[in-house]
Amino acid sequence: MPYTLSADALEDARLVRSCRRGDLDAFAELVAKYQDGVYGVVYRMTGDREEARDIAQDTFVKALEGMGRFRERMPFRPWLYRIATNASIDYLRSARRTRQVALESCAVGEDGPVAHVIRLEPRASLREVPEQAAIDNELREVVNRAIDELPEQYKAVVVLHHLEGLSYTEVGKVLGVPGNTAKTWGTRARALLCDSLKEVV
Amino acid sequence: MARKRLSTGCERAEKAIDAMGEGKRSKVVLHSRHIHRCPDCAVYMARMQTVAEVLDEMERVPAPENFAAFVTAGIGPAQWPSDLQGHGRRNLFIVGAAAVFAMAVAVGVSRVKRITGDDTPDDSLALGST
Repeated sequence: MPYTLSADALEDARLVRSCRRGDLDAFAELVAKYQDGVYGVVYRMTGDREEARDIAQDTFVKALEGMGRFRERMPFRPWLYRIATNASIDYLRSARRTRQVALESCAVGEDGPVAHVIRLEPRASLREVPEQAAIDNELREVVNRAIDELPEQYKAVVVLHHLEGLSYTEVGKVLGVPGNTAKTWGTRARALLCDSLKEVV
Repeated sequence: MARKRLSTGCERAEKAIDAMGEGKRSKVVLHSRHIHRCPDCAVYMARMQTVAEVLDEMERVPAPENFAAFVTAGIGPAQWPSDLQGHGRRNLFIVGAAAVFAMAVAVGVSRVKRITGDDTPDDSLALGST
């Protein structure tokens, strides 16, 4: 399907072409332009600042390595965010597996079940929530916790659409699903948040 | 993806939510009548709207200081696009082929000169000739 690129996307395409010629300044320009967006997506998805920094860095490295496969007629931002989102989801799945293994290995010790001694630390996002002037601290914490508990795809839609301002069409491109599916996930995510936040909203 | 049961307590409201998400206007109209009449659903939809507003009000999280430098510091030759590396290999191949071709021409010219017996230098090209 023909895709009309905005002036901004055309500028990105120019920078990508320069990168392909080995222009490090062009790459630095792309990093400067999208660092907040990529880091924001990854941090919101993972809830961990250190991991977010590493995953966001890895996102840009993977983007550079893959620029040969990038189709210039497509917008760069969803392509970049797709790498970031997939890396975040991979991390979440890996972290979940690790937690699961830890729980299983602790669940039955030589002296019987010891699961009761496990103390799960609160997620980093609950400790390190950034300043948000528009809503108070308590609501902010509750909202972040509710977002954290969403299924991965729903969380990705909320982060990409509401927090990063991507359209549902762009969110669909990031997640590799039709825009309408992304919209459905967004609506159901809000419905789930509505349930989680019934004490405060 | 496994669906979590919503707590609207109203099956038609859930269908309306799906219909809205899918952008199916006819279904939306069909269910929206019910939503406007049902006080529970109306309250739920209003809360959905509030949640959307709360989400939209949340601020973006900026990258840490010096993040760009942190990224570019991790870039080495291996990270450059594969097609750029391909260009490098292609250029190397072209240079190599040109060198082989030049050598072949030189060898050919020397053989021709040996066969024709023309091994005297051209005086007009000699340095210092008058």
